[in-house]
Amino acid sequence: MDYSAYAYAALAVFLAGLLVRAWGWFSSKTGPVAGQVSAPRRVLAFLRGIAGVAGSPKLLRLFTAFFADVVFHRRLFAESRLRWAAHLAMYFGFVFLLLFHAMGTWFTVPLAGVDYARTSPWLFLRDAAGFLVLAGAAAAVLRRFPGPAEPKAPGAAFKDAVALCAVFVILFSGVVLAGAKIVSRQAFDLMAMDYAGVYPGDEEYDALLSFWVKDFGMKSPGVSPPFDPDALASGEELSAVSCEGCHSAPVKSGFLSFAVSRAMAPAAAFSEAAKLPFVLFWVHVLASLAALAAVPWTMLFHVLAAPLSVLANAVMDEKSLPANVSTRQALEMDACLSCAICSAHCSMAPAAAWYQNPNILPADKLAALKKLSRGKALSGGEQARLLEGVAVCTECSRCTVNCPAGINLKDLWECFLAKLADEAPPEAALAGPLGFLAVAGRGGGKPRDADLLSRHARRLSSALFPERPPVDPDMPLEIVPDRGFRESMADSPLSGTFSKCFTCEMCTNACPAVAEAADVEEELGLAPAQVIRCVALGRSVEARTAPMLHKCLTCYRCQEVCPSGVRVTDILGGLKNQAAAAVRRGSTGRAPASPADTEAAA
Amino acid sequence: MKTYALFLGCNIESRLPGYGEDAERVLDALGIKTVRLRDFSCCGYPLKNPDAGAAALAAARNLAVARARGLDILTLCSCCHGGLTTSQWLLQNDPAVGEKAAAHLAADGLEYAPDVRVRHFLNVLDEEAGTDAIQSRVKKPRPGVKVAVQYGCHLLRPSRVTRVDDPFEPTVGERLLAAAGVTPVAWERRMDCCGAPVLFLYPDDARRLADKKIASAADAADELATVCTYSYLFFQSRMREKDPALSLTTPAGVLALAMGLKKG
Repeated sequence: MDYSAYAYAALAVFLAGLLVRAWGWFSSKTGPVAGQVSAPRRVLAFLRGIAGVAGSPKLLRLFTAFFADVVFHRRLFAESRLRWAAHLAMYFGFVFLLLFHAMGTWFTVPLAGVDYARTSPWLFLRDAAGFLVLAGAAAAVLRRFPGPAEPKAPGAAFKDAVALCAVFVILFSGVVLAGAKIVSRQAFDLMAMDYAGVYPGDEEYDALLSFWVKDFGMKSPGVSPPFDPDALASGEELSAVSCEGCHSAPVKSGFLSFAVSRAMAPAAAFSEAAKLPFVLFWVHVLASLAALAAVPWTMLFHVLAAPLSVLANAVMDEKSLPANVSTRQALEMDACLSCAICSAHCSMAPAAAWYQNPNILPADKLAALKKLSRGKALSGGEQARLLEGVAVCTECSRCTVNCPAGINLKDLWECFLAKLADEAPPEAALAGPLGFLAVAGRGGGKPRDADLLSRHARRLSSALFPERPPVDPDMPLEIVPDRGFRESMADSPLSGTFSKCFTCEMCTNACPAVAEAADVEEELGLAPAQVIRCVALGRSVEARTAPMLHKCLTCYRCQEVCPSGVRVTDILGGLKNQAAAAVRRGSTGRAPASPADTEAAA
Repeated sequence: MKTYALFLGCNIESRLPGYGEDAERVLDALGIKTVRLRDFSCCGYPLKNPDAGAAALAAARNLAVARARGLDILTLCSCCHGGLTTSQWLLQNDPAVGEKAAAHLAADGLEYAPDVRVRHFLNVLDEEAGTDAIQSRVKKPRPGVKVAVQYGCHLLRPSRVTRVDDPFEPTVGERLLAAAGVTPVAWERRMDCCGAPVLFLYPDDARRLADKKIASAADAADELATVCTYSYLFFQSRMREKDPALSLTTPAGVLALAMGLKKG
């Protein structure tokens, strides 16, 4: 049955897909050179990078990474023995079947001759590899039930299910095909006529058939033991001469297919009538070719991209050409296999749960950034959620250290933080330690990123401190009924202490921000004691929009010195939370919401 | 001696791994056992500005992880210590925050445990090993070396919550380093904030504060031993530009060097 036309077509689709992917890497619009370097120049930069590795000590790093991370899957081993075992079983089994079964003409024939498929030990090895793949796939399926509480990447369940289905279709059709052929009388007849020159009705034919039923697992209606010893002897002789040049392995060494054939034996006649060997052959061949063609176009592509990502990251460092970093980052997005091991290690997982923003988790973040980098237009709100996802990150590197595909996720976050900071609405989480880490946490940072971040800081400032109403020196000293602002502050054990303030201004005098300011009203809006006073008077607008809140160094001197036990720093912190929540809703311009609203929004 | 869950925090884990290794070796040499727990997450400190509730949940998660192993927490970074202890106070004193955190933890199969103890490296050394034990293990005293200790605001204050030392006149760091055979010094801007928290919005103010501190330390000392990792990172980036005659280290680093435990 000639399927070469289909094979060439599948190969063409496969190769075209490879070209499309590679073109995507070299022409990506993200990363440090973001569209500034043309694709051909990036190919040249890539070749320079390769040349730099050849003959340098980096070659050793490349080999180590290849064996430890590509072949052995070191990081998956550290993560989970079960996942590792399941993945390696599928991986080794599939690679064996691909090389020595699917591409046997090229790899096995030179080793074992044309008829390797039915000779020892190849028949056994084929079934052993098939068994490995099936066992690995079964473990992968079982691991997903009853579903331990591990993070999952968006869409991964569907993609994994399709890939596992493809594996099962290919493997089952192959195994059952082999089983059906063992018991197939038609297959036997064709071979007997072609190779032994015996025809149904011949005495020699019957002898051969009985020998094959006895020793080779054949099934034929009405042919069953006991056999005539003479016929068996002559059948054995004929088989030795005509058949066993090729069928040298005991049929039982193909243990999977033989076991299936025993199960099918009672239904051998039905199998023949339904042309099962014919149908299964085409299912097996076409499913395998379809999978081959699908590799570059689906998540199956990780089988090529992930090893490339591991190897690229093994030899690249901060001195690598920026053009190559851009190319690598585009490759890395293809290398992600959505295993979500990164999310399982994320230091900011509690924040993702609290904010109900899955973009904070690396696996979700990468999926969203992938869409963004492929030109998907995001609404302002989506941009803001994504920027929050990238900004609420301490760059602890755990995602990067644990990624089985070796993706340098931390670098990706850094690049996209600068890009999104330039495009998205202001992100309040950056006003504080997270902003510090974004600017100073990476040992200097890139000058261009620093510019983009400082532009964002200016936009964030104007969102946090909109035009303030001029202070009326004659304003009446009365409590403003501001939608329950004062009451909600009074309810909290932290901010409720404002009522203990007797305006001694020790806090203001202890404040280093006040000490640094040339003009307190101009630079801070309100001094700490005045912020507390505003809370006591229910003046939420004044309190929430005072630059004092974000010039506060959170050194807790004010709180420590307060003779009355007012938690000054914590009250400033509570107001900061409210201001941040207002920016988060993109609503600083409109009438301030009550803290209760803020709480609900958070 | 009891075993502590060593809380490294994001900065030490990814940016200052030597700090954690030095501390581990010093503690180990003094008979104080520590383990690293893979399940620890961010201490919550970086989340306090945008949302104290998120910070409290992060802290609650770490406390629960330590409880699951039956361990108390030992911190190194000042901001991790402040972040964990102030959030712990909030969890214990604001029922609304505590209940919300407990519900989140229950969804992850963790037991809400706001009473797990959080202790700092300096206090554990001081109280469980003692300066005499340190002194007896010093192999390389460097009495000629003057060291300025930078505590970090969030380690010392609010003092009734962090429970480390006097909020304005701490001595524990200097006492430990004196035992390690170096000469701790008083320096003018010892108790000032380094400026790191406002770097994003007010870079000029932040850098001015850091530069003043570095200059003050350089006037008085040869080495600046920083407990706080944010101060460390900020000083590091400023010193790269200014290059004063001052080297940057941590108290753990000074102790490890004195006790002959430094790698390489």
